Amino acid sequence: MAETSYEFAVFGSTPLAQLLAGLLASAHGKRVCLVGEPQSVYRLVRGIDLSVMLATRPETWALLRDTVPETLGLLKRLGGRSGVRRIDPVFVAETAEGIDALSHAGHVAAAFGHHLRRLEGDCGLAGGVGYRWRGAVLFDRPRLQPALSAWLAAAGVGRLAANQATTMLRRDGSARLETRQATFEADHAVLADDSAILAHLEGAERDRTLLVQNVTAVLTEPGQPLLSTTMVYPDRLVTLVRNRSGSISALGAGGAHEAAARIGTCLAGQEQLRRAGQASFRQLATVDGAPLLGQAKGVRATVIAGLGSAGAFLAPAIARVIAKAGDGPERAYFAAREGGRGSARATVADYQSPLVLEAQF
Amino acid sequence: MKRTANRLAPDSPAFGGRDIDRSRPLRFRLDGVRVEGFVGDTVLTAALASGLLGAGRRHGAELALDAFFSPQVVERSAAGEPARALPMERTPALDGLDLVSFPGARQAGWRHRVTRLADLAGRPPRRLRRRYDGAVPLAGPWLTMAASRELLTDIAIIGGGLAGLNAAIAAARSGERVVLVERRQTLGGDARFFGSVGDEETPETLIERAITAVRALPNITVLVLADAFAIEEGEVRLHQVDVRDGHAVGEVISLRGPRIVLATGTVERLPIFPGNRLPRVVRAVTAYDQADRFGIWIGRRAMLATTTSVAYRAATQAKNAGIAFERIADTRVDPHSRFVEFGKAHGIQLARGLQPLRVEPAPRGRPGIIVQFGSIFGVNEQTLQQFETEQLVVSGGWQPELTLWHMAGGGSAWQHESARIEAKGALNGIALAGAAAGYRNASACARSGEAAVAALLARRVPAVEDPQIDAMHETPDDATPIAPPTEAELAEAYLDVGSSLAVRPSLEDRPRLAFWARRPAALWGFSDQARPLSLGDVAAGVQLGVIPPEEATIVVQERCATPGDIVDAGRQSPAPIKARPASGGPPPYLAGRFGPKPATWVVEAADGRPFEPGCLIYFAADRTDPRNAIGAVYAAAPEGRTGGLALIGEPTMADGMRLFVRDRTGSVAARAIDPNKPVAVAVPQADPLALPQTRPLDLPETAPAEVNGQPIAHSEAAPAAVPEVRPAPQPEDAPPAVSGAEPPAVPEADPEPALAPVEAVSSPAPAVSGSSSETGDGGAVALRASLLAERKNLAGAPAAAALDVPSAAPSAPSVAPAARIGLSRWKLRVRHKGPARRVGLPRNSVSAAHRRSVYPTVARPRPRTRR
Repeated sequence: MAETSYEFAVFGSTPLAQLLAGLLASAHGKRVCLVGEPQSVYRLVRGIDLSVMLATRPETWALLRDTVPETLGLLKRLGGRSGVRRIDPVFVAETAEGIDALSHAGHVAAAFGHHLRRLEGDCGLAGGVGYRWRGAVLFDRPRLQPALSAWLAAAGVGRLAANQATTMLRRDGSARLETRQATFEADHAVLADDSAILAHLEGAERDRTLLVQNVTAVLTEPGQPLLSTTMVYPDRLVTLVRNRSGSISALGAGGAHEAAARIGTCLAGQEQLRRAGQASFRQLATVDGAPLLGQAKGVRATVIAGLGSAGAFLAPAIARVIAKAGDGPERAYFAAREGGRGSARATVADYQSPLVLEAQF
Repeated sequence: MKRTANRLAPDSPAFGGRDIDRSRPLRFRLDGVRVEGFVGDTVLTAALASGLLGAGRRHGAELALDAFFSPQVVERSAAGEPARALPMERTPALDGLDLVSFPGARQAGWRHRVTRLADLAGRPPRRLRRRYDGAVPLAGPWLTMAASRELLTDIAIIGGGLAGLNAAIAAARSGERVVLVERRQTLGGDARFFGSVGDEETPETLIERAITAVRALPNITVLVLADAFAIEEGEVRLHQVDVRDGHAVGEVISLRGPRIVLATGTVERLPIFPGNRLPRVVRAVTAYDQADRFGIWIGRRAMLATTTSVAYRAATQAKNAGIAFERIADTRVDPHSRFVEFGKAHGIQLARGLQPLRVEPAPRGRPGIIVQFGSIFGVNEQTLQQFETEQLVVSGGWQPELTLWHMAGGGSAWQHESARIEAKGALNGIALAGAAAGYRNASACARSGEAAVAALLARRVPAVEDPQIDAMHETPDDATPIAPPTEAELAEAYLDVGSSLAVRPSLEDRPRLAFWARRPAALWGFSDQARPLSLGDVAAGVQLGVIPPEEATIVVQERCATPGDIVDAGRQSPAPIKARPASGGPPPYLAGRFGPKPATWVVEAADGRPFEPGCLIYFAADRTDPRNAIGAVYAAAPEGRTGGLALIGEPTMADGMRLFVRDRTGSVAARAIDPNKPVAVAVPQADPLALPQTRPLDLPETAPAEVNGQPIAHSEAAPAAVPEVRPAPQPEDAPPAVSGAEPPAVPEADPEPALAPVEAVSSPAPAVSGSSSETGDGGAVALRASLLAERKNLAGAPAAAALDVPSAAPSAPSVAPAARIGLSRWKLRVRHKGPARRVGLPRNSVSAAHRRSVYPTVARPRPRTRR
């Protein structure tokens, strides 16, 4: 049985995982294997990649200020422009805490050159306060995928389908992958998305900060235009994206019925909107709302979680940190957000929805 | 054109129309067009018989009107009530009705008037004036309705074909109450189309016997024109159309019972080629059913493109009914079947190894279509054959109807041999029967209904034999044919019938307006197909290589089993989100932002404006980098105050001290008053047993920064046991302590302040108290205070205010500490009465973070900001 060795095995299927694998290979000269299926055109989209998010920490915005143009430049070079949509997302908060956090995030983001406008009048949710973010970027995952796949192939990134490989993570952080045809060794495993973490780490191996939550993705039939192409409801953990076809892709916290009700509340005014598809799955959230980049307990594989919708746009910085090529601020940013820091993470805590905290407490 | 142009003659030896009463004609209007039919017709079949073949247009091409794709209709008097819309295929045709299709039909404008005039002149339109390009809702309103009545039963049987009929009989004879649900207005399903195998009884015999038995059993309730659209544990949701007082009405019924038999039959796949849903392209089972039950056949000439043997039955029967059946094109190279032999015996020309490549409407003025066939081994000029006909009957194989099965949580798997998705596994209280369970012969379907009931009643399950003719004598059906894509397709190639409207991708990337403004790269997939998919769509996706076979079931569960709607606000809203228990302090995301011992202050604007939570607080008006903020407003000001309540981490703060708050309008002069004790910020912790609690801030790991032995309070570099260096509050009217002290140092790169509404500040210039005396050495603090004072000066404060340096450090001139510790790369310009001179701080005397905090323009490039 042939055996191939890699320096990094990146587990995940999201754009973040793919960008990370590609950057480690192309920008840092590492031998990388990506373990996961590409974004399939036949499955419902299970997350969004938005260049802005409800982040209150200035250092997060400082990092995004550098990495968003870098990421977009990379996508432009690799021909992924059709997978990038310029949009003006609207964030709507409804709890007092959420409204304050959104206001604060808006002030911080504005200081970093973002253009926000508080929506006057009805924002579609009773008691909600909305902010429109000008000039954000949204990845159209299905359209981006061909360019990413071609780039990964050109960068020499090995590809393995997650369901066709048996994975063994060792205590030193290395990984062994076996398929019917070959065996692969990787010096270090990087679990780059929630599904990879949930698939490869037991509960005890995950950081205490991480909480598992049910999420339901819903695709609706074409509906009336929303306030914006992308609507984010950070309190009720609902995200709506109006697709080019007029349909609405919605992500909502909870099981099918719970999420449908939450999403339905956000779709006030859409008289009759039939579901065109629905899928429930699990994802991770950090209890303190801060990103997590650190080692898994026991196996020392690198775990990346809690980055929110902007995770893909942080890929260049994460790749540098993992390749040990990051500069001081980048290293410091992620060092402060390592797992296992316990209460030390308090100084990097960000806003987190009461729904997540409800599950915790 | 006669209004009954597509109706076969009543004396036709076949296809006479079993369901209609030709002695009782009727007339009604649909979108203003006169439609003629007979009692027993549905609105759909009467429209088809009257020549209305198109449901409307999509992307410039017509879409055929059929039982799987037709708009809803509503009486004109109730056109404003969408809840009363009914499906055309299940609405009985009634004399005198005036119906409009719903929604979106064009009922005004000159085109509509021309259409009506042409109709009156004897030239009725061939299609409804509807468009399906955009976000046209196609789902029936009943999907969102609450059930108007509830039916309780012991066994619910969905499907009134042979399997469902025999299941009902078996259950009723066991003493169970049975409700039998059938979508059509008569029972029997598609069994007549499939015929019988060998010497088994004919389907007609089996159906008649079963219907007679059902009528004789009083514990069977039959619901016809009822469509089961949702299923959950122990409940099936139906929509039934009934006639009351001369009007068709619909209602939603909740059918509850502990056991359910799904005898939903099978769906004929649509061969995939451009134009496969144009009017006059009809699937074999649909053509047979329309002809058999309603005596409808579109046109008088026809062709068949098939991949199955049973479709030949439709051709031979149509030939018997007087249709000029010109040709049968079979994708199989050497098909053997009794049906094939029947076809030959009827004199129909048979072509093998051919598949339809495209269909186009015939040139204007000729009622028909142009059909192009090509070899399955490759398309070239030699093998292309083109014909004009009036109807193309197509047959692309069979897909068991498992939508409700999947909706109930049933499993399935893709079968390579049969190229279809078949049920797998079992469900508690639900059983499959008939063609849905994979049976093919009429007798096997009938027995499978009995077996399903026996399984549900936990009785001995009888064996079900499903004999198949050997492949030597009857060639198995081929997979659904897929025409190779071409560069320029005039019509779209749909993957299936029905309302999903999913199409195969085109190779063409059409220019929009000019060569430089092209559409986005062609992308095709199911991820943003905006309508629920059918199993046929998914099966086509597998055949096209878009969906891996092993994931077909997942896609079906995601995309096909979604009956419900997304509810509007107020109908099913979840419980309001409970806010986290208030800690009474600042929010968690401010933890660690402004030093280890931040304090709360009331920040009062000079002009009395309120500050919204989230505003950042700076020492200088020109500061915009939030990393240099000394605090943030986190709540409204206490009662009776303006401004806001802020968390400020600056230890040199003094009561009444001038600050700048950046709100949405820019930098606003303010002052800090009414300090409180340092507060702790409650941060959610990961311990699942922990209750929300106020937790003191944790300390950073970096070494504490010190100046002259005293720590400097800072957001990211401070020790745990830092003595509080916040100055004691001073009365507002306290005079400047040292009005003539050394002027403060100013960072060299400081630009001119952008906003300086300090003139509006009415309060006396604040003074920084002499906390330095408390720390033993006021040097650093004094310098800091002097910097602050200078910033205030830069911000446009009166000149006198610029000299408000710490009063409590009389023994330590403001510049002295800097001078004492020598020059460094941190160069400061000291504005003095004399010429400017450079002073600095020692290289290692403060932390880098502290430098960034205090001297941002020196240490870091100025961030780009837009105003």
